[in-house]
Order: sequence, then structure tokens, then C-alpha cells
Amino acid sequence: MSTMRRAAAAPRAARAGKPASAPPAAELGAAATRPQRVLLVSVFHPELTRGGAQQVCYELFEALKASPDFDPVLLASEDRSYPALYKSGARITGFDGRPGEYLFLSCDYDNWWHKTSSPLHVAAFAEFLETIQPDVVHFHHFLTFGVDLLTLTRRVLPRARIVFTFHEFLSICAADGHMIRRSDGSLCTHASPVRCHQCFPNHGPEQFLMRRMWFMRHLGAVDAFTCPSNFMIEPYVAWGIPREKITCVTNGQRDYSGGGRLGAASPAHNRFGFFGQFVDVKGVQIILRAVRILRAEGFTDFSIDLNGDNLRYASPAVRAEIETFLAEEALLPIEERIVANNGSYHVDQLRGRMSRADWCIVPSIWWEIFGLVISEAWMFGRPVICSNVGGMAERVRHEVDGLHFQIADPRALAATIRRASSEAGLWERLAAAVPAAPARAEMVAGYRGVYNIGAPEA
Amino acid sequence: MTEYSGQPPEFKFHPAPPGPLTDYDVVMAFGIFLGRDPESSSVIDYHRAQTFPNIMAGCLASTEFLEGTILPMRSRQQLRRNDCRSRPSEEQIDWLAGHLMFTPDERGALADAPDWSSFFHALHLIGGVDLLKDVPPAPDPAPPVVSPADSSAAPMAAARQPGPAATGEPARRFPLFALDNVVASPCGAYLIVGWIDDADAPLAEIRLAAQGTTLAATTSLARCRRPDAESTMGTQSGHMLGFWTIMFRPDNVPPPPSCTLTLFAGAAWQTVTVQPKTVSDAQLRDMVFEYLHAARYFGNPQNESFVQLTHGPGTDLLRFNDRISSSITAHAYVQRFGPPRTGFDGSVIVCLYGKPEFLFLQAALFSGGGGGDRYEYIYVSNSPELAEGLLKEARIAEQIYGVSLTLVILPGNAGFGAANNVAARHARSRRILIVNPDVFPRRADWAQAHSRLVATLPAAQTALFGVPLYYDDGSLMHGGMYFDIDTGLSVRPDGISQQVMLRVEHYGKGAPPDTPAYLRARPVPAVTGAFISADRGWFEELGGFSQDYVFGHYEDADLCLRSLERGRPAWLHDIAFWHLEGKGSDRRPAHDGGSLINRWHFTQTWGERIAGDLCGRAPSYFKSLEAGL
Repeated sequence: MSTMRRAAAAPRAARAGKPASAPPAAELGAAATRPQRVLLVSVFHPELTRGGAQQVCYELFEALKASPDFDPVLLASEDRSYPALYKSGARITGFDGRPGEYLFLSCDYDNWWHKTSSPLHVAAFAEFLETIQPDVVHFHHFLTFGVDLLTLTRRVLPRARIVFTFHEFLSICAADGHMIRRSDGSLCTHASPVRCHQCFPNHGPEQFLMRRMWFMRHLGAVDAFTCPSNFMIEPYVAWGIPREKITCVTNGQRDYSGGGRLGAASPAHNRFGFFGQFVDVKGVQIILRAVRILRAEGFTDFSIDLNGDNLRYASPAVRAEIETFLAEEALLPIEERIVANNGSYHVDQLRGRMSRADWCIVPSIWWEIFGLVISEAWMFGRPVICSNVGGMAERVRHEVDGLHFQIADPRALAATIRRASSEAGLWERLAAAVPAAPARAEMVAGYRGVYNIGAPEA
Repeated sequence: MTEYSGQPPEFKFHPAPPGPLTDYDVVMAFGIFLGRDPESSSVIDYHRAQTFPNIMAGCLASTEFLEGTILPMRSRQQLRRNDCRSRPSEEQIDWLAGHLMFTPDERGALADAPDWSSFFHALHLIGGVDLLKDVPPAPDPAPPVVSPADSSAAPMAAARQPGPAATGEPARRFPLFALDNVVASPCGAYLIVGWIDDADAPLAEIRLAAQGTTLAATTSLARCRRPDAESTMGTQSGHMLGFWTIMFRPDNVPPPPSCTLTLFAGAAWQTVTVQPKTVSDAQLRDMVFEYLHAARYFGNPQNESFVQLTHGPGTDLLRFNDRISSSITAHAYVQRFGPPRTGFDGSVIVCLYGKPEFLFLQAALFSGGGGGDRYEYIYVSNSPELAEGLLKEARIAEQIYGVSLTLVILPGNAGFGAANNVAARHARSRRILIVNPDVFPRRADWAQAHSRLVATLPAAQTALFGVPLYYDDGSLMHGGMYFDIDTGLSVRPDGISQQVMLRVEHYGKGAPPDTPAYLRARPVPAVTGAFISADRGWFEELGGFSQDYVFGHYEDADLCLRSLERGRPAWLHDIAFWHLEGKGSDRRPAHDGGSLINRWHFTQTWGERIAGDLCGRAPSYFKSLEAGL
């Protein structure tokens, strides 16, 4: 810790070769004369475990690094997916020689109450805060850390500004934060002790009262909440977050297109791509059922490219369905195959993968609060076909820059695919209206206000 | 001893052995002829001053020997000796033969006697005294060893009757019976479970002996139905065949591997050799209360349980539990966390059992809001298996919330009352708050509200008070407690008796949350132990919670009634809390048995008092009290 302590304590100016000075506490609301130290707390590091929340957090980290007004530090958790990174007696370590990036080696985590049972980890987190002395602590999650670390942060840094970004509904919903009812698979609109008990029959209603009290106790330490889409605000306000404390700040990303949009992938505009994890809520199975329907109807003049992985995290039923379909598809003569599985990809490969699709399908069967894949499709000028709920419906404007279909309805998706493949002029009209994907700068501007940091001088 | 008027028997004594008699000589003489020890040291002193012939003559001439040995033998009855030895020991034979200077063959004749009857018969023959006129020859040897099955096994086969005597005399019949379980614990407690077909001659006593020495005896037998035995025997008489009891050795030596049980039913008795299973004291306690909970009867289980406890081992069970609780609390481990401070506004005491998560939940929710840091938190755990986890959570709570927290870990389940009492001894304030683990504040400023209330109200209103408690669905679950009386009938072949049982109820259970009648500040018959705020001095003056109660239930009402009897009834003050009733701890069948005996004991203790002016939703005691307020 001693090396990390010296490296972390010195502000950016010192690391750049200028004389070091002790990091004083921030005077919130006032224009800072030095870069504001922002500690970003991320569930997992995107280099180790792919996922939307950690990707956004890292985008923000890199964007803040590029700004002279900020001195960001990243603390990302690790959960023994890489046991070799665990060092004896250490709870927080550096990461891969990267300046300002640290790993929190999570341990003894309770996935129901969202807390650690390791006093040493709690102490290590407190010590890290005292060492880094951030002006702002921006939590992008509590998963693998513990929601009670919010209260600890307030206690250790009484004057720091604590910001929390919701990337799903985990505080409200014990069902992985998806707000899909486990009792019948329908979308859930609000939580209550009895409704939650219906999804978790082994937990009495009183457990959910306690759960809410537990979360509210610790979220009470947060000064400002953000979420990447407006539709998320109402459920959180209804749950108990003060309306005046929660705002919408979009998720910005680096432009992977390099500024150059792609033209159509095919003259017929009948090539479709899926980009994401092969897990239940992402809805790959809806695409495959739509393909079966179209095939049975005799419509086969289209293709689907699947790009992604993590099939092992799908439910057994969905995994079996996907594997069966792909196995059957592989037995067909190549000219008869409609679906191709291209496997996982790195963001550097996006251009190539997007070039093989005219349309991007986002068939999520949960609210999908933002959908980074929508931004990525827009980077390359791809109109999005998506489920008609949540963040997808908020971002994609039906018949303007994309198309909606009824959530979880393969027939509705099938009809949309057929229309997209055959309606003359549709692709051109929608592609022309595809907006620019939110950039990092837009995200930073949004957080500047949340951090109570003044606008940069012109 | 007292002499009878007849001619005492005589022995032909060889020359008396030299030297003065000793205490040992007196004890041996009493043991052989009277089957007991001398009453006191003065008795020993008196007889030690006699000669050996005088001691012998005195024993043989005593009414005790006449009634205990001579008359039963002359009427062909079994000897009933207080020591329950079935035959003299080698030591006794050596002593007597030595003092009487018997030859080796004569000594051998005594040693060959299989029981006391045969022994005295032989002694008569050797001594030449017409002591045992018309006494039949020695009966058949004792029945073979019968070992109890494991508690989970089916009942054993019934012990058989002894066979007919060699002389052709009909054997004295003992009822058909079986022993299902004989369990011992290190403190000297024994649980005996079985059944007996004793409708004609009720089982009256059970004695436990080992190596010829009585270890324990009891007449406090609980009876219950045994449908399995009823089915096997095809009986529909309505007679309860099952029995169970608990008995105690006075010493604390480990139970011997083998012992005898003698069952007395009517004029008959039967001895079996058993090899008790040994379990811990706490395990035996749990087994006892599991039996109590599971016992079946022909009538209402509550009524009949009360009858059995009253006429059976009820008091013994309470004493046994108290003994175990005291032993557990004597070995409490205490560790403090957080900044060392004094001058707390109050000490929140929480008793944990089976569920560790309530420590961190309460630490989070009680410490939030203003004033929570003015209180310390004492967690006493009746679950030693949670110790490591609780230590970690206590340390985390210290780190995250900065609370002052004390952990008291007990090596077993001492019960609610005893555990809270030992926790209270470690309080560092003048105010204790007894709080269930499933109780949480509904308002963030609960601490300020509580401190303000204690500081501003008269002492009589805050000596001991409770608060409104709410279910998780928002409705009221407690606005104070009151008492009612249930009556039931216990039907026996020889008559019908009424059984009175006290019942404790909550005011406003399930009522709308803002019902004023249940929320207004007022004195009440009692408040629930889920939340009791008490002046520490007053709590100590009352002696804390009674440790008579087993595990939990009714000790809160008992505390409130003791406070009322001393002029300070419990009050209710409106500081709202959640109470997730019944969710704070694990519950097992033994606990249900504990609740049953607690209700019985509570009724025994307070039944008459409550029936006076404390019964019902609006007891007259409080009408006059409120009129004076």
C-alpha cells in the first residue's frame, strides 16, 4: 500500500513532474483552483469483466483524465474471476501498472443484503478514502463492495460530495434489478413487500420492508443521484428517492467509428445484427423465434448476425434453445442459413461487425435502461429495431430513426424484420435521421453539474 | 429407631471383635438392616458408643426392621428398601461376616444370596433365629438386562413378568410396560420415557440406582397418550398409557454407563437394567420440552398439559431449566467495540437467537438519525454458533456507524430472560431498553424522542414503559397488553375438573395504524418484551426478568406485573417502531414446549391476582388508577 499511497496522494500536477502538494479537502460549490479529485467506484473493471456499468464508468474515467479540471481515480472491484490478481493480505491493489487505477479485491460478499462481512475490507476501503482524499466519490455501483460503504464514505469524508449512478434497478428489485416478475415474466412497475414476496416465495414480505429500509439508510448518505435515461427517474422517485436529488445524465462513449459512418451493408437492407450478451434478458431467443416464424412463412431473404458471448450465464432453458437453434442452423447448407454466430468481439472490432449489418436489433425483454449498443449502432449509422419499453423506447424514436416492436413478441419482431427487409426507402429514411451517439464530453458536462463543479473556462 | 414389644431375635455371637466401633460400623449396620444411612451425626455418635451386639440387637428389634423386612417376608411380599439395592454388597457381607466371625462357608452362603430375602433367610439359618418363620425359599433370579433403544427407534418390547417361583407359588404380576428412552446428562438429570398398562395399578414411583445405591427417585410422573401402544394392545379404555418424567441425582458425577430402574405400580415393582444415552444438559432440556410439546392427550392438549405439569414434573422442569440457564450465563464472553465512552442516554439490549443479520440491520437503522450515537448497543447471543460472524459484524458496525457496541456471547441458549439479565449487567447507562432483534425504528429521530420523553415525564410514567409497534404491512400490532382467562375441562374417569389458563393479548393487534385509543399515553397491564424501556435501578430492584421461564414468552408480562405490584404499572408512550413479530429468531419444537410450561407457570403464579382486578381489556385496577391521574 505504501507505494500506492505515495502515488495516489500526489495530485496530477505532481505526477506530471511538478512539485507535489498535499491534497486538501474540496470546497464544494466553489470554483476549484486545482483539479478536482474524483474517485470513481466501479463494479468490475471492463478489462476483466465486460458489462455496461463498468464500461460507462471507464469511459467517464478516461474522459475526466482528458480534462484539466479533474484528477480521477478509479477503484474497480474484482470477484475472484481472476484469482491470480489476489495478493496475500491485500484488499486493494493497483491494476496492471495503470496510473490511477486500483482493484478492490472483494471478499465475503452477501448478495442478498449487499454488504461484505469482512471487517478488513471495510477498513481497507476507509483507509483508501483517507489516502486518496477525493473531493467527489462517484459510485457507479455498490455490488461487490456493499451498499453500507456509502455510509462509511460519508463518515470518513464528511465534506466530500457523494454521487451515485443507477445502472439498473437493483436497489428496488432483488431480481437482479431487472424488474421482471419472476412469478410470470411480466414487466414490473413498482415494488411492494407483498409483490416482491411473490417473486421470492422463500422470503417473507417483511424481508422486503427490511431490505428497503437497509438500502434507504445508506442511500441517504448520497448527495446526488443520476440515471442515464429519464424513464428511470419515476420508479426511483416512487420508491423513495427525493425527486430533487435525482437527474438524468446520459452515458457517453468514445466514438468507435472514428467519425466515419458506414453505408448500407447490402442493397436490400436485409442484414440484421445483434450485439450483446447471450443471456435471457437481452432477448436473443426472441430473434431466433422470429427467424423460425419467418422461415415457416417462407420468407428467407434476410440474415441475422449474432455478435457476443456469455451464453453460459443464460438460464438452462434459454441456453438450450439457443444451442439447439445454432446446431440445427449449422446442419443446413450454407446458402440456406439465416443466422450466423460470430462470437464475442472487442470494441475495436465494432466497425467490422457493424459493417455486416444494416440494422441493429435490440430485443431486450427487460426495461434496458440505456442500451450502450444503441449508441454504438448510431456511431455507424445503423437504425435500431428495439423493444418498445424503457430506455430503448426513450432513445429510439419509432418511425423517425428506428423501429419499435412489442416486447418479447417474436411475431411482432418477425413482421418488423420482414418490413425492414422489403419496404423500399425505409432504411434510407431512418438511417438519415440516426442521431449522433452521446459523446464523452456530453457526459462529462452533465456530471460537472452534478459534482457541483463550475463550467470550464473558455 | 423404636423398639417393639415382642421378644427380639438373637444371634449366636462369637467373641466380640476388639477395638471401639467406628462411624463406618454404624453406617454399615444401618445399611444392611434398615436399608438407609443414619439420620444424623448425633445418631452415629450415639450408636458408636454402643457395643456391636447392642447395635445388632437394636436393628433387629426396631420397628423399622419389623415393618420393612420381617412382616413383608412373613406375608410373602417383596421387600421395599429405601436404598433400592437388590441385594447386599460384598462390602456389607464382609463387614457382617467379619463382626459375626462367620466361617468361610457361612460367609459364602450369605454371598450366594441373590436378593435381600434370600440373604435374611440365610442369616436366619446361620444365626439360628426363628426370624423368618413361613418365609418361602428365595425367588427366581432378577430378569435379564434390558437396554433402552435410541430415541428414534420404535418402542422396545415390553419387559416380561418374572417367572413363577420355584416352590410353585404364583408370581406377583407387574403390568406390561416398555421403556422407550432413558437419557442422562452430566449434571445428573435423567429423562425417562415409556408406556405402561397400569389402569388397574397406577405407576406411582420410579427409582434409579447403580451399584446397589439409589441415585434418584421421583413420584412426579407426567402421563400422555400412546396411540402406538393403544393400537398394539387393542385398548380403547381412554387410559393414558404413556409416561415420562425427569429426575435428578443430587451430585454432579457423570452418569454411570449402566444403572437400574425400578418401577412401582400398586403393590408390585419391577427392576430393569438400562444403559442410558448421555447427552449434554441443554440437549436433555430440549428433549424434555420437545416431549412436552409433542405429548398427546384424550382431551384438550392445553388443559391436559397443565394438569400433567401441575401433578407431574412441572416444578422440576423449571428448576432444571434455571440450573442450565445459570450455568450458561456464568460463562458469558464479553467484548466491546467502538469508542470507550460513558454517559450514554440509554443501553439498547438485544437478545439474538439463530439469526445474525439483525445485528447489522439494527446497527444501521438505530444509528441513523439524530441522537442514535447517544445510545450504546448490547447484543447478547444465545447461539454460540453465530459467535464468529457476530464478532465480524460488530467490528464492521463500529467501523461504519461509529457506534459503541458490546457483544455478550453465551455458550448456549440461556433463554430470553437470563440472557437479557446478563446483558443488563454490562450496561453503561442508567436506562435500559430491551429490544427484540426484529424491531426497527419507524422514525429517524427515535433516540431524541425517547431521551426527551424520559427527561420530561414523571418517573412513575417512565419507570417501565413500552411503545406502539407495527407490522410490516403498516397496521398496529401492539398498543400494550392485557390479560384474559381461558377455562377448560379435564375429563377423567373419576371426575371432571376445571382448568384455568391465563392468556396475554395485545391491545389493537391488526388495528388501523392511527387508532388513538391504542396510541395515547397511559398505564397498561403489561407491555411486550419486544420493546421495554426501563429505569435501570428499577429493573435491578425488580430483580430483572424471572429466570423461571423457559426460552421465551411470559417473562415480559411477569416483569410488568411485579412492577405493578410494587406500585409502578407499565406505561405506553407513543414512539413508533416496526415489529416483524416472530421473524427475529429461529423457533423449534422445544420452544413450543417452553411456551407451554411458561403459560402454566405464569398461570400458577399470577392467576389469582389477575382474576382479582386485572382481567380483561378494561380491568378495574386501571379504571381507578386513571381516575386518579
